Order: sequence, then C-alpha cells, then structure tokens
Amino acid sequence: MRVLVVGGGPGGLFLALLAKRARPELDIRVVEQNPEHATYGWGVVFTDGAVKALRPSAPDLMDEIAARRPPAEHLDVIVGEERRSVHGNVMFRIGRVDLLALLQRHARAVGVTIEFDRRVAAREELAGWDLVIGADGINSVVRELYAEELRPHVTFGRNWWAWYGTRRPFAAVSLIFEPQPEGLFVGHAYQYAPELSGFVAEVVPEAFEASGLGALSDAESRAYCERVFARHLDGEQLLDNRSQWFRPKFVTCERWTAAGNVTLLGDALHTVHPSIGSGTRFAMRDAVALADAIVEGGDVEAILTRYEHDRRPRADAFQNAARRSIAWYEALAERDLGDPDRFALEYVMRTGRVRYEHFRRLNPEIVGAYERPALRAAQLPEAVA
Amino acid sequence: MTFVAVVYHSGFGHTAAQARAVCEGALSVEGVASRMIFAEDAAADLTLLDAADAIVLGCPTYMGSASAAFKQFMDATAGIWRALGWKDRLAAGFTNSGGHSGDKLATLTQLMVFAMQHGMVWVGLGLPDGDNASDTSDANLNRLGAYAGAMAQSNIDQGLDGMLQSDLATARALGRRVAEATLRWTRAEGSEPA
Repeated sequence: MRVLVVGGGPGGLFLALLAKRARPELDIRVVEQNPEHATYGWGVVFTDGAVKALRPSAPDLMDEIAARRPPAEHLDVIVGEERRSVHGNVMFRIGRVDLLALLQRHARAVGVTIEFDRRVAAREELAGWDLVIGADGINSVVRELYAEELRPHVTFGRNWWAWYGTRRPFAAVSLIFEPQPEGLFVGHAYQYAPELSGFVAEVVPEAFEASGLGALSDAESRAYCERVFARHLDGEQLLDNRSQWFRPKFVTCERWTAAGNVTLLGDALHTVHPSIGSGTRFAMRDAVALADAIVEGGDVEAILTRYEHDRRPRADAFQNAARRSIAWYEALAERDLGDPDRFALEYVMRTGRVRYEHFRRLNPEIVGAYERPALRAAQLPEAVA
Repeated sequence: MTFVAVVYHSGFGHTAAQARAVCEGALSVEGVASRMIFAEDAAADLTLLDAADAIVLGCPTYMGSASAAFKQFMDATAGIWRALGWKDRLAAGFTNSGGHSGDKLATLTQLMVFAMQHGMVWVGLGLPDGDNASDTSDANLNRLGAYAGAMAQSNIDQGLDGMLQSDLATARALGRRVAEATLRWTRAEGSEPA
C-alpha cells in the first residue's frame, strides 16, 4: 500500500513513523511545503497526561521528548502583580524545530521518505496513492481541495492573538492577565529551550480596538505588547517570528473521508485551542488512531471507517472542551480579577473536569485563602483562624 | 464574635463556589465571622467546629443523596451526637447537582435530619419561589423553588463560570439569614460569644 502524507508537522510525521514501524512493507511518503530547516514556530508543551497517553505508541520518542528539559512542575497564574503557583500539572516543553527534527530522524530511520519544498495545489498531485492523509494544518490545502465532500465549518474566535518569543525564561508555564485601561491583555508564556520562551499575546476585542493594534506595523505591535507586559519581561524584549495578529480559526469537518481514500488529521481536520501545545497533542492522538487503523489492516475503506469510528467520539468531546475553554477566555472581560486565589481556582476548574479534592490537596495555600473570604477574615476566632 | 462555620464537600468545585457564597453572605452581617471548612478536614478534627454558633452543611447531591465524603463527616460526629455537643446550635443546608431537580430535596432532608439528631435548630431558606410564573426567570433568587435550604444547579460540562449568579445569590441569602438568626439566637440565649 502506498501512503501519501501531506504536511510534515508533528501529526503527519508521527503518523508516518508509527505506520511504517508497524508495517515496514508500506510505502510512506511525507511531502512538506517548507524547506528542511525551516524555523517557524516557537515551542510545544506536553502535559504529563499527554506524554502518558502517547508513550505506548512510541516509548523511545516520547522519552526523548520528556528528557529534553526538566519538566515544569507547576503553572503560574499571574494577575497584574499577584502570582499564584498552581500545582497538579507536570509539563514537558520542547522547541517546535527540535520536535520536528526528532520526528524526522525517527521517521527516516524506519524508511519514511520526506520530501521538502513540495507544495500540493491540485487534486491531480494526489492521484496514484492508495491512501492520502491531509496533515497540512489549520489552513489545509487538502481540506480545501475536497471541501465539497468533507464539508468543513470554519469560524473565528473573538480574541486576537500574536505569537512572540522572549529571552526572559518562564520556567513555569505562565498565564499572565494584565488589565489595561484599554482592556484585558493575556500572555501565555512557557520556556522551551535554555534561552527561549514562547510568549503568546491574546487580546480581547475591546482592547484590540481601543489600542489600535490592528493598524500598527508588526514592530509597533511588538513594542506595544512589550510595554503592556513590561513588568513580566524583566527588561527582555519580545521576539518576532512571523508574529502577525490573527483571530484563531476554529475548524470542524462534517465528514472525515473524501474520494474513498482521502482523510485528514490534526488541525486540518479539527482544531482545539491555539495556546500551549494541546493542538500538537491532539494531532498526535489522531495519528495514533489512524496508525492503529492502518496496522489492523483491511482495505482503505475499512481503515478510514475504523479511524473515524475509534477517534471521532473522543475527538469531538475534546473539541467541546476546547470550545468551553475558548469561551472562558472570551468572557474574561466580565470576570472579577480582584481575588487572585479565587481567580486561580476558577481558572483551573474552568472545564468542570478537574476534581476539587485533587486540586485542594495539591494547592493548600490557594484553597486556604479561598475558604476564608477576605471580607472579615481578621475577625475569625483564634481557634479556627 | 458570632461564628458561622460552613462545612462542605465538592466534587468539581461547583458546591465549593456555593459554600463560598454562603460564607460571603454570613460575613455581610456585622459582628459575624465565617469560613469554609472542608468536610474531610472537619471529620479529621471536629474541634474545628467547637467555636461555631451555627454550622451550615453543604454537599453535592450524588445519586439522590449527600456525597459519600460528606456522609463520612456526618458519621464522624457520632461522639458529639452522643454527648449532645451541638445541641441548640443553629444549622442550615445547601446542595448542588447537575440536574435541575436531581432529587436535591432528599439531600436537604438528609442534612436536616442530621441536624435534628444533633438537637440543632434548623434555619430554612425563607425565600419565595423565584421562578414559578410566566413573568419570572431563572435570574431570580431561589429560582429552583427550595424552602428547606439553598439549591443550585450547575451544568456538568462547565466550570464555576457556568454557575448561575442567581444560585450563588441564593446561597448568599442563606448565609446572611443564618448569620442574622444566629445573632438573634445567641443574644436571646444571653450566652457569651464563643
């Protein structure tokens, strides 16, 4: 069987690697539009849950990813000057370039062919392959070529985003909430290399309008964000890397299969939240499901049916959780940021799926403050204070 | 100082938010102190409740009754029950579930009977039904129409932001009512504040 993977991102490469490892007789080719040593993108965050879920499929690779840097043992929720460290999530960080190089090396070692600088633009280029997988990201060409059958729905989030980096090391994955006169700015920061942290700026629409960011040049926008986040950057700059403002696309597809032999995975098929790494994990979980379906065998139709049957319910549920998370960020302007303990707790509990007892055990200081509302805490009898 | 303790259990944070609202309501009354105490902590050290003039009891409704963790706290108080240690203190209750009914009244009844076993004095919600007519809405206090205590409903796929402000305001009203009742009760008793 000849398999064409369009898109050499983490999802496409992981699929190629897993399928080829399990079925060496397969002819698998990955085509990627960017040159081999392209350096777009900052870093990727994997939670310990993500590593645990992906590890059985490729223990050597996941161990390598996890060993890149010491894991971050906590998350910092920062509101202005107030910082709360939330425990309970262990996070592994790796540079996107580093991750891609790792995946390329492992894929090539088992005989996957990777072709760079190859941009697919027409259906004819996909002919002659038994199975075609569009793993070409949020702006997927494959999805557009087969839009009539796949029936994609694309909506845009309300908040504006820009991807920056910085040399200020954010050892803990940090969520920074910076209320400004023009509205709320949010920073998602995470160190992924010895001297580099990713820094995603998210701006609510009111603040985006009021600040006029849309009309500023890239350099002016970056300078503006540097001023907004100055107290969190310790004098370091924000770094540019194609950092233009965008409103994140939210993609779903009614159908997962087209032309009898075409399917999608990752952002091409369905997006989550464009913050810290969940999209990469999501795409790699898709890859596991599709690779499992390929390995189980049968004809292409059976493979695609199994892929959708096994993956879709969990993927749809995760996408729903992403929708709720997006809604949480979009409603931030209405939220009370005045009590940092309460806010940190509400942040962690935002999906409704975190066990309170678990959170409480790991975060006694935050919960201790939450349990004693500030109103008149000083008047508590000594026996219970 | 009159002290209203809010003993609570919470599965995913919603009932904790309700407990916090009860606490805030109690604190809004001059001369009253209040804090939340997790049921597990209270069960492990019942002296945390020694100074409480009133104990507000709250937990999620699971399977038509109080959550197991809260029942553990209830059972841990047998020694106090035997000695009538909480007799004549005030008590009240609140509960939350995903379902609009969820048979939450069974839990409030369970909490009320528990308080009666202890010889406590039950304080109900004291609010009219908030959403029982064509011109009412779920934005009203007591929108779930409870009398024995405060009820809340929270969607199972949402965090604390998904809770209705009206349910939290209802919990606040209960906390305030308990605090006011406790002030009157302790004053009438002529007892020294704890």
